[in-house]
Amino acid sequence: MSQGDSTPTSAFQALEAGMRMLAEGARAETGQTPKEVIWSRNKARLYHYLPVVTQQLPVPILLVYALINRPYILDLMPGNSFVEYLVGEGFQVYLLDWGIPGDEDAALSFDHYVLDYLPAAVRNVLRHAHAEELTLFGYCMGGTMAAMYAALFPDKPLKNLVLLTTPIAFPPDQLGLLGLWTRAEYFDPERVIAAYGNAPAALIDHAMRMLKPVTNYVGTYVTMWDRLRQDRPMDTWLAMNTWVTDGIPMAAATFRQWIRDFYQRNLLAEGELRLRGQRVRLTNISCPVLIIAGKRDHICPMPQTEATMTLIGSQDRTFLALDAGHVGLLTGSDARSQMWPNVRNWLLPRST
Amino acid sequence: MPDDARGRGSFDPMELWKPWIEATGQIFLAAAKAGAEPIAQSGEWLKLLDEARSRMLRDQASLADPWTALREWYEATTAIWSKAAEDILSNTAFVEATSRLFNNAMSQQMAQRRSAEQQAAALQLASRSDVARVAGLVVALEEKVERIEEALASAQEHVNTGTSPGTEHNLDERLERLERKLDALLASAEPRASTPPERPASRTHLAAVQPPSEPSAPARRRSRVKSRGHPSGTAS
Repeated sequence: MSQGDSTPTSAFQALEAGMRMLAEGARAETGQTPKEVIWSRNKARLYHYLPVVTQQLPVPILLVYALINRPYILDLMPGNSFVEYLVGEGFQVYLLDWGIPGDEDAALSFDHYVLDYLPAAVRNVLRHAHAEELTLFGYCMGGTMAAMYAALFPDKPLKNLVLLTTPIAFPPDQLGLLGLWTRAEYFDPERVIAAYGNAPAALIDHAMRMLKPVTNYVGTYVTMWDRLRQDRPMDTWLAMNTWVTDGIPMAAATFRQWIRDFYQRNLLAEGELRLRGQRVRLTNISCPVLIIAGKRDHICPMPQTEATMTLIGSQDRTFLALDAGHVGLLTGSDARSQMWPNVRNWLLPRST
Repeated sequence: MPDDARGRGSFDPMELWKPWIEATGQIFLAAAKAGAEPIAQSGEWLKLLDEARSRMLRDQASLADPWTALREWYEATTAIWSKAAEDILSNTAFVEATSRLFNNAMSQQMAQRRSAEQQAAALQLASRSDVARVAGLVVALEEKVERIEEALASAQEHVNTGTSPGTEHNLDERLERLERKLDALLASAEPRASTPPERPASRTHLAAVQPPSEPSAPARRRSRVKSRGHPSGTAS
């Protein structure tokens, strides 16, 4: 298929390829950076990415993703992988994959994730890396959990904290469409829990897509057909589409907490959130913190991340606003030239 | 593209435009019924309409290719469709109505779930909750195994470093008590001064009167700590 060729054969081939993608769904090889499992608990897996340079920085990085979608967005594909980049820069990189909760995990809440899973993952990272300190890097809800951990365990071994498009504050008038739809008068998470148990992946997926319905339900496929017709490479589109359609359910107790305590009551920013009776005070965070936000992020609007600067107690804190969206910050050519080197430059002097 | 393809099977863009205008008008009407301010929005919408029309008619040759025409139509109208969708989705009346629909759907799903459990029980089949219960037992067992593994790993670490949990703290305390006793013994063994001290001998005072060759208590403790890793080590 050549670019701009409109002969019946090439057009038919493009049509055939497109129809196959629609029928079978996008499939691509993702998460290709070599790794090994060093610890597991229930569905969670702690991965260590194999080093490619001989000289490595002594402070390892533990990547913590959200409980929505799969974490391989951090390692999307060769040449477009944040993990691959960090490994190439000499960081010891670990990733905590929460796994896919089953019905038996309905009682798992942030109390378990932050007070049980994260500390265990941290211990295992330090043991494996023979290190005394580590950097916690949280993306989206993973950053919220990382921030809660940092507030409850502010001392060693936590050395640095990086929060990427992390919702910390939930001011009711600045949450966009998600804030409106989850208002207490319109949405009761108990109904979803009673109906399904764990919040279904499809419910969360459609809620996210409805934030920009024309782009997500139509524009994505217009781009697909356009690229096929012009015989342009499809691997990035396929990898992204694989990830977008690979949602996971959220444990019932976590879903209840996320909607009630965060979206509806904004307890974390108010200093009223408690995990197993312990109050989570963000002012306890004292380590160096890097906060990155996207100016075009409609899933986690800037006010939600910006507020972190005034809530934490760290002296060394940096806020970086980049011209990108929620996912665009992390993957793509703009990410390679902006977010990735900014993170490296901030972490390098703090990882020795 | 061959010249004769332009007229062959082509369509009049104005024919394509009519249903679009009707659909847009219906959206406009729905927005008005939902309580939006149609007068405030109409000016902006008309501007967008005009811009979309200009874009579509800019290159009439491309419209002969159906795919290109569709793509041009999408590019021209996506902004207005997105805005219309956002206006509707952010309208509180719409959200309220959708919320009621959603709650009804959840009620139905809840009834369905309950019914499925009852049917499985009646047929003597394992239901979803039964499977989850068994899986929960497996998870609990796995956690017990992990706790044992963690305890073993922790013990191994302490063996490697020559300590056990809390040993370091206990040792320090015991050493301090021993040193106090030794200091007291030394004080009682030394010849009495002509004017007895007005207060009990403090460690500082004793340290000052100790012969120079005798290592101080902190030094003795440091040397004991250094030799801790060697089973046969003795204080220097």
